[in-house]
Amino acid sequence: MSETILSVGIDIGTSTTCVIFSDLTIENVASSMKMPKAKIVEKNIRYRSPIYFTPLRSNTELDTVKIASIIEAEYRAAGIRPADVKTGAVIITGDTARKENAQGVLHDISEYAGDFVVAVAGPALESILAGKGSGAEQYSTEHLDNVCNMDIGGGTTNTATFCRGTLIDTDCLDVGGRLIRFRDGTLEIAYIFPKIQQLAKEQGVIASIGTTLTERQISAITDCMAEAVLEKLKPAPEKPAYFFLKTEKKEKRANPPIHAVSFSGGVGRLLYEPEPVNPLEYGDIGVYLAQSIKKNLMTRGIQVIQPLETIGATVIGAGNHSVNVSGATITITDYGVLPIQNIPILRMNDVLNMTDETYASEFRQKAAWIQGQEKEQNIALNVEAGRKLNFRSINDLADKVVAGAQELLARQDILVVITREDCAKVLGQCLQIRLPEGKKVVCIDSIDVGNGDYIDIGTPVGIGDAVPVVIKTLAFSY
Amino acid sequence: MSVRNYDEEKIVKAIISALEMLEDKGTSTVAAKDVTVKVHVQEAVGQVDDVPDEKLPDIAMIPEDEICFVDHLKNREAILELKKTTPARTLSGRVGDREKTEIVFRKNANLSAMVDAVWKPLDREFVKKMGYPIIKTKPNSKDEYLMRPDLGRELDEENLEIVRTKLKKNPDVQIVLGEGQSVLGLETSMPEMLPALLQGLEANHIDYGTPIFVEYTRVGVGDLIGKTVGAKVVCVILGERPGHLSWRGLGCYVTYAPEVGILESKRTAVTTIQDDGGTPPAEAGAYVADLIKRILQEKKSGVDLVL
Repeated sequence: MSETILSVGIDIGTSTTCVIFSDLTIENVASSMKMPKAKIVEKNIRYRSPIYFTPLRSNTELDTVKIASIIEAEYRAAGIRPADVKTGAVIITGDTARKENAQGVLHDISEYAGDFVVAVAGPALESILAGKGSGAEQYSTEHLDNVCNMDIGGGTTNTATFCRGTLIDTDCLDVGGRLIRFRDGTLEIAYIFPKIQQLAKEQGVIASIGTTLTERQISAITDCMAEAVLEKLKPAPEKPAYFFLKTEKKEKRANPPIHAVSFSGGVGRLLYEPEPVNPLEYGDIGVYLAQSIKKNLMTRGIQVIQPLETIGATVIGAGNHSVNVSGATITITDYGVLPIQNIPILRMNDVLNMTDETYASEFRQKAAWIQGQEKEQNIALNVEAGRKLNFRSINDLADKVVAGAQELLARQDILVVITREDCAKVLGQCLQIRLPEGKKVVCIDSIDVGNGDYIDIGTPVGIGDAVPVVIKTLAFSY
Repeated sequence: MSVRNYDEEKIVKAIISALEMLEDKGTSTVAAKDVTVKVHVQEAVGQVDDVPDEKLPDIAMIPEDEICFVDHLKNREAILELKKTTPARTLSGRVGDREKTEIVFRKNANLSAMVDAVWKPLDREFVKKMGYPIIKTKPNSKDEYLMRPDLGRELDEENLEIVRTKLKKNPDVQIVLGEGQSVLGLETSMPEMLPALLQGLEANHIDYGTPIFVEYTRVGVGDLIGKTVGAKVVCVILGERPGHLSWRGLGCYVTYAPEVGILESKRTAVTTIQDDGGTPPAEAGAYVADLIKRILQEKKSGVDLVL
């Protein structure tokens, strides 16, 4: 038995915008004498739009009207009505997410998004989607290797590192092809990103709008950008340029060694192609940056693999890889509450080893931190016990969850609980009998989430009770 | 991880050097050779017998995913990661064209566990503590039970009388429990599954009457019991025929409108209910409760019920 759902991916990036539609096939992979188990077994791209330049009204504003009309035209060209789309993601990426009206765009195109298409932007999610869409995750799974995908686009470079198929790290740097743009056919600067201007200055290159650069000066800047990006391939980056160009200040931490690297995105694609005759084909530093990276890579002796997708990695990630399916035996006491969108995750670890008091106080503290002033905001509770659960410990868990959530339940009618272990049917049942009439339980399993994630839960896909789930990592964290 | 208290390489080396020594000395008789080799080898690996039995690791209890006897692996860590995806016996290595000693022992241990699961005597205290009426089918011994599946579906007059008098009449579902072919399955997985099942039935307001325990259980006996009490549905949960890696499993068979001789295709089955590679028992209990609810609603089970 299998079900097919239509998914859309829309990527509005610094330089390009693209739309894809794919069919995701979900099957019951358990034998007929076992409990059902839902899995996405096939992902087929049904339609792929041409690559458009992202319409801008100015350097700081997106052209909402034009973006909406591109998307509308692509739906028509593909012969798809927004109502046919069951899932997917609209993602605003790179430098674009920093535009003043980015959030407004998501609002304006929401009518094309169907009921359960998530609208997001954020460097971590972008890295993850590009890493999956490029095929780096699959390569890492199949070769049992540590692979880093670097999606180098117009505005940012998003890296995702997979260790034997598991995501272990994401990062984002202000390195991209369109951070310096030139006037038609010349080397006169039309736009320069402030951080790059500063970086150039440190290299002794004075670059501002109107300045004409020499090729050597451009290379000095792009060499420095390449050095910063590839520093990421070291287990513990140390070069100041890397830290300077990082978009988020995270703590230094050591990663396992990376065995292979793949490149995607517009600039990433250039690494696998013969050098263009005219380096100013795109009117920016993209070609120079690709050359600098190529040159730098040769000194490192790391294996470079060609991904399945380069320029389309992010959009394919959004269309094909943004959705997960939950376990097929879960608890949803009222299907009317679905879809549930945009609820933050509150994670509680090692729950069974906590006293009721510690649990309650930690829960209250985290809830206050997540909700801030918005006391009406619901929270999805992610409980992990860190071991196999028997019936008694599931009951203990349910006691703790219900006791801790009293304050939340005073304002909310829906209790959302998420676990990794396959126990959502019995845990949901235990929760339900502990709650007063009128309170609804949504308890799903086989989903990996963490603090800081947001989650969307869709309507059942038709295999057991399984529901589609989209995990978003920090929307708009720029 | 080491499961050995001896060093294979050391022994081989000792034997080779002993043989070389014999060549040098030109010892001629077979008996003399034998003695010399034995002494030499004992000298080389003399500590073997010093380790008391209770200090030795139990070869059978090492989790399968920690076992890797293939030598000279390029990426051992990755291979062990892959092993987690299957409970099957893999990466067992070899010595020449033989299996490794540990693997032979482990297979024997698993085989013994299988045999124990079937032959271990039923713990009557355990069954009594469940608090339900206890009956048995017609066979008079385990041997007869195993050889005559037909008798395991029948009840004599005395046992049938208990069914007629001690069980609640016309429940929504009659629950029939038994050790079936795995006493270990009953003892380890039933205490996890049953409470979740009953809790689920209660939450759904389904009347499960009086559950009953049947020794020498075959699935078909549920039809007779269900029909006798006038149950709409019968749910038989019993120890599953063990395999090398699954000797703690339960099987659950739910049949709508049970009657003696009903087709096997009318049953909805949930099998391999056990931890480690199967369906977690508590989750299975909650699932079966919902399954029974659906079967009552749709008034059908087995292949007629599309899940």
